[in-house]
Amino acid sequence: MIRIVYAPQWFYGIDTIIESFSFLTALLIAYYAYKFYKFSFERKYKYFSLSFLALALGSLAKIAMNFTVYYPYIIKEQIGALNIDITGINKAMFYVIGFDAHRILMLFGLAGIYILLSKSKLKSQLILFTYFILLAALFSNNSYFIFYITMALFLGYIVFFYYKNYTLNPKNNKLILVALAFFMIFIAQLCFLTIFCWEHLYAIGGFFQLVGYIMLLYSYVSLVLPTRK
Amino acid sequence: MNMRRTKMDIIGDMLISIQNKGGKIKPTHLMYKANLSHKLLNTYLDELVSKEMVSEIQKGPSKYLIITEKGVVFLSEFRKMKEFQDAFGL
Repeated sequence: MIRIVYAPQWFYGIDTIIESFSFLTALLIAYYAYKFYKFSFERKYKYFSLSFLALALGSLAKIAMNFTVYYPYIIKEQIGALNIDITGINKAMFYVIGFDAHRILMLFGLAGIYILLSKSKLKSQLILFTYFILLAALFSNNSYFIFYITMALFLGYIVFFYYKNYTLNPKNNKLILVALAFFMIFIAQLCFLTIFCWEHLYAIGGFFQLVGYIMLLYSYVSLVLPTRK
Repeated sequence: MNMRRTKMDIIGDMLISIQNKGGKIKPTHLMYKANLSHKLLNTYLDELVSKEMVSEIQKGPSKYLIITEKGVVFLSEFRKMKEFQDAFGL
């Protein structure tokens, strides 16, 4: 049987708040990057915006799934004199669509950022990436760790590229902040990966994810605020 | 770093050069400040003038280029974009 809920019971709802925060932060960054794409028509801003949009939608899918799993509600359909309870059908449907959408979107988002930072040709890697992302997302229902390993791998490379960039521009403090933000999200994946040892690691991972997104939001705010002087 | 400049980078460099000179510059000075060839300077200048970001004035025997309000707004947005690019390592 597939285990749906990994979070400890006291963490129910808190993870949804963290995911909502992640959703809003990613959406703000996606919008800001899109604004610069419309301004310059440089493709890197478009792909960066689409990558963060994918991360935002991935978080949204998880929020929707959390609501269905944590707070089941009874839906009764009346067909003539018959009352049919369709809660079970809805729950299974939300689980499949929500989890798969969450995994696919998160992996596409991180792959987009990875390709942009590695400065490699997007077209030549797109088919290969799509194949591995779909493989990791759709066939990890029974082996959840495949998804988290793939996430950790992408994030590890992203942190590495940011660190490499920072060593080339050591005065760029904002770069190290973004690198640390992704490092926190990387640590979160390692925690999610090891929840079979101790279920509270799910909550610790959630905390790291929150810290990572707070740092990303801080980077975003520090870019937006000076313009309002 | 010998990264090739994009069109936006060149336009940004031109406007920054004009602004750093107090909003007014001679075309030859702009050519050197923005590190452009004569041909490229004219190409980009035509575009900037047609988009009303730069205007040309004649002062005595010399021609001057002036950054317009539209150019200043563009430059402000360009700087924000560069900050974003630096912060996110793009």
